[in-house]
Amino acid sequence: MRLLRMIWFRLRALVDRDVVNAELEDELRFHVERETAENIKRGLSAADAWQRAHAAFGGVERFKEEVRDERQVRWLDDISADVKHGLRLLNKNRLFSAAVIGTLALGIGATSTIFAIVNGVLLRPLPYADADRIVSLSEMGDKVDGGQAGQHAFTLWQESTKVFSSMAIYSQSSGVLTGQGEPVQVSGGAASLPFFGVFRAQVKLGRALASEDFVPGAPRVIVLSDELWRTTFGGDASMVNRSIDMNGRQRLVVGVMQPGFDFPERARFWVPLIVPNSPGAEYYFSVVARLNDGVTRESAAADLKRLAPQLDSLRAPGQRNREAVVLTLYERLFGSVQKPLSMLFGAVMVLLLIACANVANLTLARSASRQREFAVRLALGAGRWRLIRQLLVESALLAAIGGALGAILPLVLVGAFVKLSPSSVAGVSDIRIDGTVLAFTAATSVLAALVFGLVPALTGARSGGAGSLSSGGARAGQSRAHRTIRASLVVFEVAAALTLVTGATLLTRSFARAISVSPGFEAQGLYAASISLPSARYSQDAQTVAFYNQVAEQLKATPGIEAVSLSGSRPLGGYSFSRKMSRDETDDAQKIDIAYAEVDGNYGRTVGLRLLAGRWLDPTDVKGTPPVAMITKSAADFFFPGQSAVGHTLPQAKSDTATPQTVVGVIEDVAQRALDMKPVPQVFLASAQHDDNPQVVSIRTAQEPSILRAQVKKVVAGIDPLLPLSEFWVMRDEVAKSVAPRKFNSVLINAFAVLAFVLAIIGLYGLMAHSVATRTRELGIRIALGAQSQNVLQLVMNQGALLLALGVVLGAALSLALSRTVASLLYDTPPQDPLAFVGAPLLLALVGLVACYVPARRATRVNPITALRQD
Amino acid sequence: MESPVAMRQGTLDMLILKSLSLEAMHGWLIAERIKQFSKDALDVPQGSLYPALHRLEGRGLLLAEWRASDDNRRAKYYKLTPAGKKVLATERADWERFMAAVQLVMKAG
Repeated sequence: MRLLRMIWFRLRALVDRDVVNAELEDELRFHVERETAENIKRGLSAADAWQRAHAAFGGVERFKEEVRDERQVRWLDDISADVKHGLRLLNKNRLFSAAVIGTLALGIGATSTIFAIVNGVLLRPLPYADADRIVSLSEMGDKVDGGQAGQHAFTLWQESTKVFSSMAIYSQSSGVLTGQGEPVQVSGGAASLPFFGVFRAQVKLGRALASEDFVPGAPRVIVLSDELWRTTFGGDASMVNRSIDMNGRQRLVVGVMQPGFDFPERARFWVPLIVPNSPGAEYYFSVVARLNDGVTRESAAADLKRLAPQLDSLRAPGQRNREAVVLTLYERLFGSVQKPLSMLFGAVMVLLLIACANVANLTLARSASRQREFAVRLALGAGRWRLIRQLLVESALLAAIGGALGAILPLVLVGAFVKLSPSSVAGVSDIRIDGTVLAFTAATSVLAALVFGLVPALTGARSGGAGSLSSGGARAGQSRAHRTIRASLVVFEVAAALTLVTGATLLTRSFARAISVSPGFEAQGLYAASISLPSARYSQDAQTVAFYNQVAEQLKATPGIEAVSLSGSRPLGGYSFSRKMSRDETDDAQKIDIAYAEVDGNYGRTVGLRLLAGRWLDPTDVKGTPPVAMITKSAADFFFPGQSAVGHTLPQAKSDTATPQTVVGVIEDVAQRALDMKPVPQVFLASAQHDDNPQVVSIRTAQEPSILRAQVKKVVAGIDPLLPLSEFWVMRDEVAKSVAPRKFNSVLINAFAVLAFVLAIIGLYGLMAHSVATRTRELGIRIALGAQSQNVLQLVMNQGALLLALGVVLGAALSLALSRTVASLLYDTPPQDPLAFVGAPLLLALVGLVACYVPARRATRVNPITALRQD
Repeated sequence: MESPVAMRQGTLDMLILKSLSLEAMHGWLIAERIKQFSKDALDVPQGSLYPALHRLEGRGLLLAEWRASDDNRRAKYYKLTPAGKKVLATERADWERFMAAVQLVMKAG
């Protein structure tokens, strides 16, 4: 009650200010009138009585102030006066205000934009209970972490460790749903038990997968995701215990998962993962586990390492010596984007700092010319704190306006960035402007206001002593402390900008190198399609081959299509099969991975491979003719170093009893995963001489992708109306996509670097121009005493060049120190790339000198007479 | 007549609370009452009276309301809140202990 009263008392004073003041007047007037009446009663005349009452009371106004102070709202009045004063000043110095607000808006906006991205991608926790306890286990051989672990490892880990409370294997899966209108392809997961337990995911309806689903001969079951259940099955609760048609087989729906659970990678359904029982072979799966309480990632990894000798004893010599890797699920999903995004965030923070430094310099320059105002106010009795507060309020106003404008930038840019950003970045669809982002923007603005506002405020209030009142404002303004601070700010700006420019140059060079890599095929006009065939109706290889042949025949007959080829894989689609090979099989140590692909006789012409020697595989390479192969240059260099590969026989694994292939042609390496990933040496075999099923149809045409897509769809539907067209790739886009992350980083950091560069140059120019302006008198004296314009030019230039040189040296040192941390983000570019480490500083120095030259030129034109007459 | 005794701020607060312990009063009357009770020894500096009243109101010890005065004019009356009564009780106790202590010292020897 009492607390309520106290709050009400203050609240009323704030909100109902006029009424409260009027009441106060009434109360005091009542007192004076009452006193007057009393005095009259005591026998005084009316006039005397009134005067006596007033005298006894003292200055009514002063008491009003005191009473108001009791209400503790005085500071509010003061601040609002400061704000009004500040706004008037901002309006008076429009150019200054615009420069400051613009700089801040850019800095804060850019920072908020990157923060929105970082927040969406990196900072959002995974949507699972105690997600930081979920780990992803894998085995690493030859320093390559494929993200999976072998069956032996998984079984041993599950049986012999106590560091995990639960562990499950899974693999991504996809299926074709029929019977719900047009056939649709949906992605899902095949999982062992207790997969849902690891995530602590609950079912919404029915039940999750259970052990009875894994016994041989059990009915085929499926668990639907909430999303699939709602969109495709209309949220019908009676779906549970009904059968649906997937991949041409009936599956019984046993449950629907809780909303939002969609692991792995937007899974829409889950089916039991039944590990094939084939002795001798080892299958690979992704593994997730939940750490037991008190177990760290490191101690879990150590425990798995303990089992390594036991694991090796289960495996053939070539499969040994693998290292168990324990990553948190978060690291597994976001590890690849964490570093570039952190780098971008760092870069944008540097940009913000440069922006703040620039604004601080501007305000310092201005507060210098306001010395007189401060001196007068101090002399009139204003407290120092009052002046500091005034300056801080002005900074806060600028930061608030700049921040508000800066908050608009992410709204515009985030959409563009999401489009530009590589789709492979997990969580990119989660990027949005939310309360967290806005709070960040607000906090950044406040911080900026403090950073650029405090220095001028403190120095301004301190140096505004009586001295500035007597001497000329302009000269007195350039106190030594002031000059040092401003010069250091500019040196910092130049150094920071140089660091960004160097970094941007490195990343741009990497990007340029990456896109200049030849993909090894002609992407323009090349398309690829894949149709997944349900195993129920296409159980025989012959059926699959017949289907694909039919598709190829019909497409070939379609007008506008130049060439069609069937193959087991496509460029930039990875490779489906690889084998460890050595030059001659006796040398185990020299084994490297060789990728194999089976392609038909039209592949070279359709895909547009670059033939270096010999000939392509062609349609005449069929069963019965000598087995042939076409190999990439890196394969040729490995198998037949220093000689022509054509005509030689390829080495074979000991177990392989077939006739070895003869190399008929050598082609340029074909990009397998991305332009900036070195392709594994590859051997192309003639599919007609082997029995593997085709997986991909490659098509070359000058037609629009949309027309072609429709044509392919029509052809597929004509052959089997129950099949959806699973995938359709525009190869030109695939090439672009493979370097998209690099492009994303490069574009962003370049934008930051350009901004930083411009800001630093503006800062330098501003300092020099201001310094010349304040030294007019001194320069005038020098000229009057006979200094040549050459000398004056040199004098000013020397000052600027010194700052520039300091900044460049500092920046170069900083860049050198930081270059090692970006080394892993570079492609085919040394971290100490000469262009970055010589070119960038030179460019900055040159432009910087120009920025100094302009004010220096002006200095030489100082008219000594006018200069001396000043003040 | 002796010159009025100078008053400390805390003392004024206590005297205001004491004067209001019997009935609600407006500012002028409070000053008058203190003067009367002290037989003109205590003259409340009127300029500190109103800040003190507002301070006590702000601390939730007094409740103010506008009503007609005895000469039928609108005046701001103050009365004690329960919290005010409690504070008065402790201040009175403190004051008495303090006075007794001072007496002992002054009369000693």
